[in-house]
Amino acid sequence: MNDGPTGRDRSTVDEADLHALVDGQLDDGRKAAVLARLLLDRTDRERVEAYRRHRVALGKVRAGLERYGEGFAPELQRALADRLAAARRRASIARVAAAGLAASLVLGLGVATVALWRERVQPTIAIAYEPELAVPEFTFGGSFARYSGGTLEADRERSLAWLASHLRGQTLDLPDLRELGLKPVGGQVLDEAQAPAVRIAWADERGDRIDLYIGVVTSQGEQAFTLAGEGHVSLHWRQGPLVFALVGRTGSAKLLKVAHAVMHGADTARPATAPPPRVEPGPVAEDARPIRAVADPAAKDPTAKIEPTAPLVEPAVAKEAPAKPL
Amino acid sequence: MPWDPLTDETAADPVDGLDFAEVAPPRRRSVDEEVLDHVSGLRRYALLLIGDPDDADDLVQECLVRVIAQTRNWNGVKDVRAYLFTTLHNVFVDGHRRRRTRRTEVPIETVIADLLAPPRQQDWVELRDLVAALQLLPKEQREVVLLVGLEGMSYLEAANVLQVPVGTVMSRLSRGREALRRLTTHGSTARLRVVK
Repeated sequence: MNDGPTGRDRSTVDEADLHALVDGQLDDGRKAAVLARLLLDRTDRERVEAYRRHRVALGKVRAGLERYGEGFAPELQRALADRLAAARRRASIARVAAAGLAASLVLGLGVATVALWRERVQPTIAIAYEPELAVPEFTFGGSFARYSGGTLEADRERSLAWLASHLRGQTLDLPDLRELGLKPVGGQVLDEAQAPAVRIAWADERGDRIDLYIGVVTSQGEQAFTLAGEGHVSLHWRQGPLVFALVGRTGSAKLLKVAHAVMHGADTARPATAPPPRVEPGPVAEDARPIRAVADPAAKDPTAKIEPTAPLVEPAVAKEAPAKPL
Repeated sequence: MPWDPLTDETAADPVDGLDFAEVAPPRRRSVDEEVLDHVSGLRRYALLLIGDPDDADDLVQECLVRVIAQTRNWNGVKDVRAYLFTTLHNVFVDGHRRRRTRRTEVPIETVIADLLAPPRQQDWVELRDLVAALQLLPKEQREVVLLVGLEGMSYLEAANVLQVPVGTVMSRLSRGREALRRLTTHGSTARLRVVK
């Protein structure tokens, strides 16, 4: 939450802040101020606890009625589904046609083939990775990062091998983050990074993604990362030859848990094909807390750029005026 | 032990039985599943908003009919959920005056309890009090509490659905939640008058 839409004074903690805390709509800086207030003010603390209990209770109602629409007005549901599907088919056809026409005009049949391949093969990846999170500049190429496909395998040995093949033989156990509500989305190679690097992504049920960048560095004195981005919380650290960056639109507490899980998996980092050599300690101890940074302190609302429902609707090629609700 | 939001993970629902092979690439929901999700959301929101299952279903049905019959530019519907909820809100506002005040003989909290899996006794008491207290809120506050708390919308999404400024959403939420807290804390929802 920020003070943009409401013009609220951010120098004091007010009622709205307490509710925004309960709803997870405070940025980290604001959250710290509100939590500090709660430490001192028992009354407010009790109120916030009550608000939170109510939210949890409503969550239980929601969970219990998750499929409450089942069997309700089936003919209307069918009609709605048909219209949505038809609209998406039209948009998809328009996209393919536009891509094919543009490609054939500019680059000929070869580019057109690539466009169709992207259309057919990569839609889930394109949706999964939009909108783009901040990309660490150093090592990982920043906004110039380019990714090539490649999906991680479920099998542990194969994922270890995949990582080793792209990280100069270094590999690690990727953590199981299901307890944090995060499902693995996949992995990609960063083609134009300054060092061998990959990106692994997880997403929660809302589709909010956490990206883990892993790279290999050789210089012990190398500063692992600087960061370019727009308000995303990020964590950076180094373990031996591996450098890590976690970027996500989530609270720092959750990101810290992910970081610790990754650190634990990286404890076993080793060359995949040779006996494990003695790993020189990096500038950051393995048990050190990662450095936390907010990419752009000026951006007061890290969630402001989220398009929470973007995955629901496929983007249309042509600019269309948004439909006005009826 | 006081609640620490930094360590609270109740919002995160663990996902069981998934591994890389199952989710990479992520499975895309079918349109049918998506519609079911939306209709489920509309129906539970309407139920708690109105407090009468029949009226709530009438409202959802009217909303769906209006959307299906009158939407011309489907490609312009960028956010289906927001579109449906906004239409539901408009139907609700349009019909609020003429809607008959047919009150079910079964209290809403009992209806909810019947719909949900048997909760623990303590949970049940809390749910019952909360659902009953919700019905005592002014409808403007009830809408915001439900959109944010039940449907998990951001303040901006709720503001778009209700077509009011974000600040209005926040103030209604603040007043609504505080009223709920007082009502449930004092445990006397049954004796309180509905403030409309």
